[in-house]
Order: sequence, then structure tokens, then C-alpha cells
Amino acid sequence: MGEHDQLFKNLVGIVGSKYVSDDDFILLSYTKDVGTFEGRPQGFVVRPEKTEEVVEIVRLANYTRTPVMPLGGKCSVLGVPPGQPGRGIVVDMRRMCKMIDIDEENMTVTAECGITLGEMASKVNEKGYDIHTANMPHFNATLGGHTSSVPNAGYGAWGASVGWNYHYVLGFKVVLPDGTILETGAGPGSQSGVDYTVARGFEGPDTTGLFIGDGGTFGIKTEATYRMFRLPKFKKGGARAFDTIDQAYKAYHKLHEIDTYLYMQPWAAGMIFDPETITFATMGMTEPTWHICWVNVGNSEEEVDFKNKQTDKICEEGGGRPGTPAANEFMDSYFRMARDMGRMATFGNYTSSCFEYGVDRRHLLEAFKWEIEFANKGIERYGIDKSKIRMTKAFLASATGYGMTSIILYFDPCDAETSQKVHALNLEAMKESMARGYIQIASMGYGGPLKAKYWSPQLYHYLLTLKRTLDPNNIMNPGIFFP
Amino acid sequence: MTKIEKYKESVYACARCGTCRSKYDYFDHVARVCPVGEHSPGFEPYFSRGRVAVAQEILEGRTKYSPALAEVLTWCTTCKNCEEKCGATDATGDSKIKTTKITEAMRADIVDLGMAPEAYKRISSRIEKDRNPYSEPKEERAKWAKKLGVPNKADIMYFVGCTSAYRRPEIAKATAKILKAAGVKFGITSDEWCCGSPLFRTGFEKLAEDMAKHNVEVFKGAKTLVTACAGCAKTIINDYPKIVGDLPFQVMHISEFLETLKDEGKLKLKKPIKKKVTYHDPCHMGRELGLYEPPRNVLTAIPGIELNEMVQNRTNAWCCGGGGGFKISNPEAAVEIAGDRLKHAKEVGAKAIVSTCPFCKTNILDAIKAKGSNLEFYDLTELIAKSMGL
Repeated sequence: MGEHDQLFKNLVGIVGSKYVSDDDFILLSYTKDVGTFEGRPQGFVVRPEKTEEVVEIVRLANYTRTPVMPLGGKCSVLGVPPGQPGRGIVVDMRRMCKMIDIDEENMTVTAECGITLGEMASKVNEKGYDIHTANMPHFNATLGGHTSSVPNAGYGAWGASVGWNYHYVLGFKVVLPDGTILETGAGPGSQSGVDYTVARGFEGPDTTGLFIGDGGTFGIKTEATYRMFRLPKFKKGGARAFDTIDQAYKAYHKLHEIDTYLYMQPWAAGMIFDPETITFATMGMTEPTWHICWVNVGNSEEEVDFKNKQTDKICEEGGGRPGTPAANEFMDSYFRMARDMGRMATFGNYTSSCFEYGVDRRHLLEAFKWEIEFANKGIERYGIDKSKIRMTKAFLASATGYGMTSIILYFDPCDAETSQKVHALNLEAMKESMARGYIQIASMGYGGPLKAKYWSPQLYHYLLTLKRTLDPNNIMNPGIFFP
Repeated sequence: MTKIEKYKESVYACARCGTCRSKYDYFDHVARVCPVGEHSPGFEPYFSRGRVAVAQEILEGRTKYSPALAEVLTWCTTCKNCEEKCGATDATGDSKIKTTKITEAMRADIVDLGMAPEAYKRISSRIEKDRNPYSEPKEERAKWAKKLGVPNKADIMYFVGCTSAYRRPEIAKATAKILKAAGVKFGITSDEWCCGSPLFRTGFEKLAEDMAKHNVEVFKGAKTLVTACAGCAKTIINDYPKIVGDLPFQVMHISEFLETLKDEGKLKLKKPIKKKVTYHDPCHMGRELGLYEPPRNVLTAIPGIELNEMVQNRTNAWCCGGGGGFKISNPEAAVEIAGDRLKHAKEVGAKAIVSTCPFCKTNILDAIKAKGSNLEFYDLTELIAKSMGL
């Protein structure tokens, strides 16, 4: 029996024949994510049902020196992990999708990492809670995939006031590259005498953090515990129009001057939209000028009204004119729309997340202006037919320092020529942005090695040492950051 | 040229967002999307996104049709829910990605290559030989109507369909009795052949065309064709015109026809039926033909009936698991999917499920038996006939 057949037989022994495949058409169906990057088929796909099966797969991978690539919702945009074409084992985690516990006393929720963010949120919503996860892609991304591939576990709906989701991820159950099960956060695996995960970092060094945004290269996450918060009972949106981006940003910056750790932010969420985007998004019912759109939440109408007036006043003092009713309501509908964006693909056009970067507050405006200019020049340079694309532009700060710029080009996926040109422009933009110090959001596919290229030599050495120590055979999702 | 090439543009319209394999709250209603995928081994090609990805790989020559792929392609009921939820829509709001047609085209390619799964071959050879998928004698097609004295020619013809004729005669009898009692002059013919639905859905296009041509010829002269089968209605309305052009008659599902009779005061629903029921939308009638309200309007006209909607209803209805050749190729999984529907019905306190498709009835009854459920199942015509005292 050859190496491949033996491995197949062993994998069948772990998960059963129904959940292992080496059919070429199945392997091929795992080579592309949502983006324009092409991947190559691996050797096997397996679908484990429990942590113990993941352990066995990882042990087998070590024994046979076969790379394993954990896979979530296939929602990344920078390509699937390289693995080892023809030989690697794709570990499709979506059978592990159970809710494990909703602890209302400690306000925590634990679920298997193959659950989608949307399903996890809907389960806690039923009990009157919510969780801070990515707003988009909400319905298809898995908990494991999202926390692995997006730094700080993503930016959620209320990021403007609560920051990135990092603080709300309390712990993981991770299968390390040698098959050891590690539980992070103060919980059963790390803290004797505690039988559930309730806190982050109380065990000593923050071990949870190592596995956030790690691209799944330090282990396969099988369970995660998140902090829940009560669903607000009331919400109200608002908007102000500004003549210039500088005027809008000045007011926006003012809104962020209130210290989030001591006082409540006046708003729950808000961002700046460019003239074209706000007009398009409100179906032509808003004048094409720069807009700050926000939404406030609270437990009473009075509270929400108070916050709304406060936000509006700051924007008015910054020179903002009253928003149209459509713009006032936009932010609330925006979240639903954005959550659904993956599905909508904006009325039949494919999204290419061309320029989406984490940028600190000091450089946010400068970065956004540069990116608009770069995108426009790039469109000219590559001869991209403007009638075949749509570009939306928005940017936002967060309560915790880093903000995000987002310029998205939409185009018809059937249009191969435009697709290729946008892909090339995307690559160029990623390199230029990283060189300027703007952080590439995704750690997957092409994003990981690019990100690692801009680490300091000390950080690179530190993380490589960790990787080599934890994964001496380099079987755990190789090629994410290191060759 | 392969059949899939016809759908090349549709195949490449897929942005791989994965909504077709999701399970989530979408706005204010639950939108679980793929019943088959959820009961399958779950690899990508068991859902639309993966099937479309494989179609792309075939079009680009990186893989070929194979018996293994043929088997995976049986895992679809063609319920069209993925298309319904797909966001890649054209100006009319329809999905650009014709996932159902893509699946049927891939199955047709499989048939052309001689790789059709045994279960499919068995059905097609039965239909070829006996003109019905049950291998029943042709002369017994109208056996159920022997004592009813129905003529074989009339302006309004009742297209009975194979399942009602041979397996669910109670539906055929109820339909005929209602029409008679309402004073409708209608006919049936034993020259009727299988509508071709199982053939269209599983890729036997040539044989399906023969069925279509024959049936159109046989019923030519009628003004209206009425059928109590969702699958027959969808096939005749949506598939036949692509073969024969404009149909020489109007086609109505019985629920539409009954709604008209009700509005004209011809349905005498005298006897109350005190029952908490729920209505199951057959995929071929709902998402394919957009017929959601007529059956509900007729059902709720019965005195005593309390209709409790399942959470997944109308455009968002969960398939029973019986259609698209799925019950033929994957009978156990089909019953498991119908089992989901029993849970949905129980959740809303229904004592009975009502539907308008003989094949949904067969599959849901199989699930009731397999699960030991105390739920009842009725075709709409059965309840109407009962209320009319027939």
C-alpha cells in the first residue's frame, strides 16, 4: 500500500469513510476562497466531529510529516493556505458547530469553532444577548476561521465604541501541533479549581492572544469562549453632511476624544462615508457629500435620545448639516446590509476587498486619502473600465486606537479581464500599504507572508522560535507566515 | 459540447460567498438554506457553492465527470432554496446563478457519458418501458376512476400524474369528486404519460422530451389542464414550453382552480374540520411557480381549520426531501429531511401537515412512519372533499 492509500485508510479510521475524501473534484472545490487568488488541491479533505478526532488527525500528520490546514467558512479574500499540494490534509471544521454553553451569570458563551458567527449570534440573541464578532462576513465565516485569520478577532458592528473584538474573546480549546489539547483563559485546562472559562489572561501570560490572528499556524482551535453583552433595547440613528472630508474627520475625531474606558462613548457605532457611497447606499436619497453616519443604543428611549443629541451636537459644532431621513436611518440598516453583504454581493457584483487596512487614529485620514488616490490612479494605470466597476469608500476609527479604511471595488466575476486587473491592483496596493505601515487585515493566503515580511527582525525571530518549538515538523498550516 | 457549457455565464457569476450552505437568521426569519447538504457528508460539492465550483473546474478542464462525481450530484432535491437565497441577482431580482439548472445540466452530461447512477437508470428505463416510474401497467393508470364515470375528452382535462394514479389514488379520487360536486365538466385520459419530471431532474433529457411531446399531443384540444401534482405542474408549465413552444392549453394547479371555484361559490364547504394544521409548500409549486397563497386561501376556507405556519414557509420553505430524484437515489436521507419537517410542524403545535403534492405526501408519510410520529398528513384535496361531505 502506497503512502497516500495508507494515509487515507488511517484518516478513515479516525473520522469514518463518510467524512474523508481524496476525490479530485472535492479537493478542487477547496482551492478558492471568496477572493481572486488561485490555490492548488491538497491530498485529502477530512471533516472531524470532535476535538479528539482533531487530535488524532494532528498526531497522524506528525507521524507522516503531512501538513494539515484547518478550514472554516472559506470566506477569506487572500487565498487558501498553501499547504502541500497533492499531499496536505484540509481539516474542514464545519461539522464541529455545536453551541456548548451560554453562561448567563458570567455573561459568557462557548461554542465549537466550526459554528458560523451568524448562528452563534442568533443563539445568544434568543436569550437577549449579543456577542462582538465580525459584522461581515457574518453568516458564513466560522468562529475558528474568523479568530484565526483576522487580527484582533475582527471589527464588529459596535467597533467605534467598543474597539476590536479582541477583548471579548476569553479563551480557546486548541489542539497544538503535537496533538496536545491546550485550554487558554482562566478555565478547566489552565486553572485548577475552575471548571469553566470566565476570564482572559488571569492564568498569567495572555495565552489566548497567541491564537488570535495566528492564521491557524499555532494550532487548530476547536472551541472558543466569548464575552456576551445584553442586547440593547433601543437604538436610533443619525447623520450629518459635511462639505469636505477634513471637516468630517475633525468632527469624527472629536467624537472619539471621550475616553471609552472611563465614560460611555456618545455613540455605539459610526463611520465616515464618501459622497458616492452614501448616495448609492441610500438609493439616491442623500446629497453626494461626505457624511458621518452613526447609531446610538441604550436601555431607554430617553438614554438613546440623550446620546443622539450629544453626538449630533458635536457634529453640528464641527460644521455638519442635518442628514436626510434616509441618511439618518442608514447606519442602522447598514449593519443589516453589511451582515448580508456576503450574500448580496451587491446586487450581483462580486466584491474584491481591495484596500482594507488597520490604521492608527493619527494616520487614519492621511491613509484614507492616500488609498483613494492610489486606487484612482491604479484604475487609470491598469486601464480598468470605470463603467464596469463600482467603488465604495468608508473609514472608521475605533475606541481602541486602531481604525480601518475600506475601499472596495465591485465587479462582475464573469468579467475575466477586469478581475485580473483588479487582482493585480490589489496586490500592488497591499504591498504599498504595508510599506507605509498600514496593516493588512487578513492573515490567510497571500496576506500572512506579506504581513510577516514587515515584522521587525526581533518579532519574526520570536514568533519563528515559537513556531519551531511548538511545531518541529512544521505540519500545522505551514506557509502562513513562515516558509 | 457539454450541457454545462450552456450555463457557463451562470457558473461564473458565483462569488463563492457560501450563502447557499448557510444556516442563519436572515432579517426576521430563519433562513436555513440547504436541507440536502445538512444531511450529507457535507463536503463542498454537496452544496451549491461546491457544485458550481466543480462546474467551473470541468469547464476549465481541470477535472472530468466521473462515477464518484455522479454520485455526489445525486445529492440535490432541486428545491431551489439556494437560488432563492443567492444574492447574485439580476435586475429582476432573480439569481444569476441558476444552481438548479446547473445541477440538472451536470446530471445530463453524466447521462450522456453513460455514467448515470443505477437508481436513475432504473427509473428512466421504467418510464421508457411503462410510461410511469413505478413499472405499473399502462392500462391501470385510470383504474382509480372506474366507478366515477369520467369522460376522456373535455375542455377541462385533469392531468392525474403517476403518483396519484398508482400510489396515491386517494388524491386522484378526492380531486375528481370535488370537481364533479362543483359542477365542473372535466375529463381524464389513460393515454397520459409520465410528465417527465423525474427525467428532467435527473438528466434524461431526450426521454423527457418524448414525454412532453406525447402529453402535449394527447391533451391538445383541451382549454385547461388541471393537475393536483406540484411536480407535474412545474414540469408542464416551466419545462414543456422549452421543447414544444407555447402550450396549446392553460395549466393550473388544483389549488388555483379550487380558489376560483371557492370565489365563485361553487365549493360547498359544509362540514367543519376542527384541526390545527400547518401547510407545507412543495418546492415545485412554491419557489418554481410562485403559488403560495391559493392553497392557503382554500385551506383556511374550511370551517374549523386553524392554520399555524411553520417558521420556514413560502419562499423560505424547507424541502420535504422527496424531489429531484433524491428519494430514488438517497431514500434514507430523504426521509431524514422529511423528519425535519415533522419537527417544524410540531414546533408550531400542528396536529396535521397539509400539502399539495402527492410525492411530498409519500415522503412525509414515510417519515411519519419511520419516526413513529403521531402527526397526520392530508393532501389539500382530501380535506376539501371531506368538508364537502364527499
